[in-house]
Amino acid sequence: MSTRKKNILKVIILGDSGVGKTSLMHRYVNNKYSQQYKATIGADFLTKEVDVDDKVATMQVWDTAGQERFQSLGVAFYRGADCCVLVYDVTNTKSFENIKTWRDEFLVHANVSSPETFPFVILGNKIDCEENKKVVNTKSAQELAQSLGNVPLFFTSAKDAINVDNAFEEIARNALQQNQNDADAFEDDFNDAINIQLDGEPNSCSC
Amino acid sequence: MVLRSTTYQNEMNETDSSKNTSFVTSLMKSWRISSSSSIASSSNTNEPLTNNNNNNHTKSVLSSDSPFYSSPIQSTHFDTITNNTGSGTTTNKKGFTRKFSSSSQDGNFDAMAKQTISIRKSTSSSSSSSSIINNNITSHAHTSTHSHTHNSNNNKTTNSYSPLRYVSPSMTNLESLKSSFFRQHHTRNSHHNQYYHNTPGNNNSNNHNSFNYSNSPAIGASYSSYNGTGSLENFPNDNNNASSKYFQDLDEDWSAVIDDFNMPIPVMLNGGRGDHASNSNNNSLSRISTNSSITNFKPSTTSVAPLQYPQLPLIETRSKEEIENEREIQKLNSLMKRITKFDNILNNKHIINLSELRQISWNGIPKPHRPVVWKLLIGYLPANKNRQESFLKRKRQEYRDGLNHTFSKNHKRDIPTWHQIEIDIPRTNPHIPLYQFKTVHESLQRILYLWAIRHPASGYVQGINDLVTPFYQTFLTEYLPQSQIDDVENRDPSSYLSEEQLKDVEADAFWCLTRLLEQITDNYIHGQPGILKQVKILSQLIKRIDTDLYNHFQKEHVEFIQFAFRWMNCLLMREFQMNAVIRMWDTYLSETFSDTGSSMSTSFNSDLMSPQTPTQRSTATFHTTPQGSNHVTTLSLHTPATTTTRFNSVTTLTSVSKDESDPTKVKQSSLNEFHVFVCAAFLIKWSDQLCEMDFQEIITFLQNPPTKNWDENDIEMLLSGAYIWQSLYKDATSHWL
Repeated sequence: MSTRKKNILKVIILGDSGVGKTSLMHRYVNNKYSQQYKATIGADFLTKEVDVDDKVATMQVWDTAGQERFQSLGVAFYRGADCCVLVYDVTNTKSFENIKTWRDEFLVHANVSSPETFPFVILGNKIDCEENKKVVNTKSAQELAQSLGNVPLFFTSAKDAINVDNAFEEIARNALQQNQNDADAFEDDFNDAINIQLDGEPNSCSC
Repeated sequence: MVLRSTTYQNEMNETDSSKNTSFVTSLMKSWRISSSSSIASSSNTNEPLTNNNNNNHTKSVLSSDSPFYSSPIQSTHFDTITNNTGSGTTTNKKGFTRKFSSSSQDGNFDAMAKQTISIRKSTSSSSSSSSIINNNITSHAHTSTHSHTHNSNNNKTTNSYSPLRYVSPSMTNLESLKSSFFRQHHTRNSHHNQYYHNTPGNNNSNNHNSFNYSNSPAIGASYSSYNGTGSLENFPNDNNNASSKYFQDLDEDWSAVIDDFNMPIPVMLNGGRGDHASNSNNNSLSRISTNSSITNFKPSTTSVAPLQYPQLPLIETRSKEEIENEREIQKLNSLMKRITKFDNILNNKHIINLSELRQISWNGIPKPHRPVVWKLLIGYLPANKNRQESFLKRKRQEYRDGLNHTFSKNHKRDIPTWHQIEIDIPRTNPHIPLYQFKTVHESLQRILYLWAIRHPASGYVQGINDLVTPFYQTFLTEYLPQSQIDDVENRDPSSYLSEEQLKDVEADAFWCLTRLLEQITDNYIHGQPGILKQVKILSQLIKRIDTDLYNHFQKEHVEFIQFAFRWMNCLLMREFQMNAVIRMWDTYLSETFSDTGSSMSTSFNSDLMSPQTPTQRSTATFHTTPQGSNHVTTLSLHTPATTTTRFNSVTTLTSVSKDESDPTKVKQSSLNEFHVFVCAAFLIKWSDQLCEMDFQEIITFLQNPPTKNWDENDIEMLLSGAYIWQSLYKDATSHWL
């Protein structure tokens, strides 16, 4: 497990429905944008080879569903994450307000080793929209990022490819850092985690 | 399979069944392998006629088929056959038989499934079949198990036998049937070798090596195929009239057909779709396979071989166009025949025979009939013809009233739900032009929002927006002329519908969506327990069916939830193109919806029909564990909300009416239950590829499986596979939770 983990960075994208998580992922991985993405159900998965500070790794990006109902599944996808990306839509206040909720939700379900230092990155997406549609101002976003522990904040547009690569470079760097910390400190502990797999079979028949 | 079935009766003893499971698995795997063009080369062993133990015996079924897989050419050829089966046109009652009629091996599965079911059906079979095992008299096993089946069906007419389509209805005189069939085949082989049929040869070998399994179903397999496109396509023209005469009433009594010596042999090879060259190629191949499969049977070898040669040039003389034309004509003919069958059922002046409709619909519903048949199958439209019009009028009015109420000033808009639906609608089927029209957006928004606020226990969940579209799209076709049905995906409904008609379509889609979601409420309530349960059952199924794949997933740390969640949440709709989904729903609706619906709709108005809810029972088996009580709680949670409204609560009525007393009523699977088996069949289809992949590749592959070009035939193969798994594992799944 530890050898596997060394060169694989697991990144989770969270955020309200319709903020552009899927678009951001596709922009980063395939450098493509489409109006025709279907609503994500469960989670989508893409990978990309990254080269951060002369270290090569494979980034596995899990793009999750935004609807609240799906949060109960989180655990299946959050486990073992190296970095969590929180996305909001600059034209949607609610999605911004939910950033903190998403972060807490993640920390509860992901079972991370040290919640205080776990790397998050916040992305304010859809900055290509007209100015009058933007309802989340930059300042409050910066304040939030500050209050959550100096979380890196980027303003992006998946549609116009603004800042996406920069943001993901930062994400990769954070993930790599986290990955190494984890590997160093918790290598032995990792396998002791309680097995909460869904497909575990009970010993006896319950009927 | 006898042993297998017995273990079912004995509450699925794990250790007892394990060795059989492995046999079944290997058998199924070879089927899968054949359908994915990989070649499983197995040695052609001629098993002795009588086997000393059950394991050997069951193996002989496999080895008797192995000639088909031993040569690469043959197995490719096999692909052609299997891909061309069905075409959704068969109307026989033994729907399942039909689906596998093209190959002997599949015929055996059919046989197994039938055996399983017939044994389960007969009350005393437990003791009798176990004694059979001890005695090792296999042919005796066959007769006795079937006699039970026969007894239980004896007092019914052939037209109204139980909805268990897989129980052969006309098994009146098995022994004579067996012998006449046997004799029949060889006679035909020599007479009609130019239209040589693969199936008879296979049946020979089956009958020979494993008489007790394949005999009656194999007959069904070969004869039922007379009704299908594949089989009819290569009939010579001059035989067409004769054949229609013979096969018209095949379902009712095919033993009569068997007695006729002069009946032509249909050609299943290439399903009539290959080109000229491959046609003749197939012919020679068929001879090879036949010879190899009947090597044990000396008399027929001598009669078959010399007569085949002179016929070859005959085929060569026909031009490609002629063959194509002929095929077209025959395809249309069988389609027409199928349509006529639906017409006959639907045009009944009084009460439509739903179980008949259900059986025939399993294999696909012709496009013009689909809207009505769906509404009937799902239990929206009453089977009583006299009531249909008034019923529809009332339900459509109810929908309008619901809308008026919801969109009136008195109603406080549920903003989060409205917003969620609003952002999902443009993302619904974005590749189909139909779903880009404003009319459609507004329609779907109304349907989904109304449904969501009427069902507060679950509310709107992403994925439900997908589930409404097959209904909406199908019901739109009702208003299009037949020639333009395929155009429905491109035309703006407002261009051919009045506003009132559009509301009617919406209302129908709304009520049918309600009926559909009722079955799977657990999937969408908080925590989505229904989906989690299904995913778990899927993993346990794969563990038993395909241990290699399961172990590989474990090794790669692939969790089923990572890919299967969406399969459950959207009923595999994201995995297939719309036309494939719609074809799949034909089967889903006929497989999993009982006649509850019509009794629901009729019970309001004290109709003639008594309420029946086989679904209730199947839900009960699915929920035997304590966690399973979720379903019940959901219903009760959710009922008050619906009843307080002006809407007649469908849920209440379904849960109240319960009829366990009718023993002839066979348990039908619930939607979730059957769907898991479809998912299992789907996953296993890719097993060989997946076993070569690492974590990333597996997830990426399963996120985007290569199903873009899947047509109805592929879907039919998948459903048939699912059906087999279901017949083997259905009652075991509740033990795995």
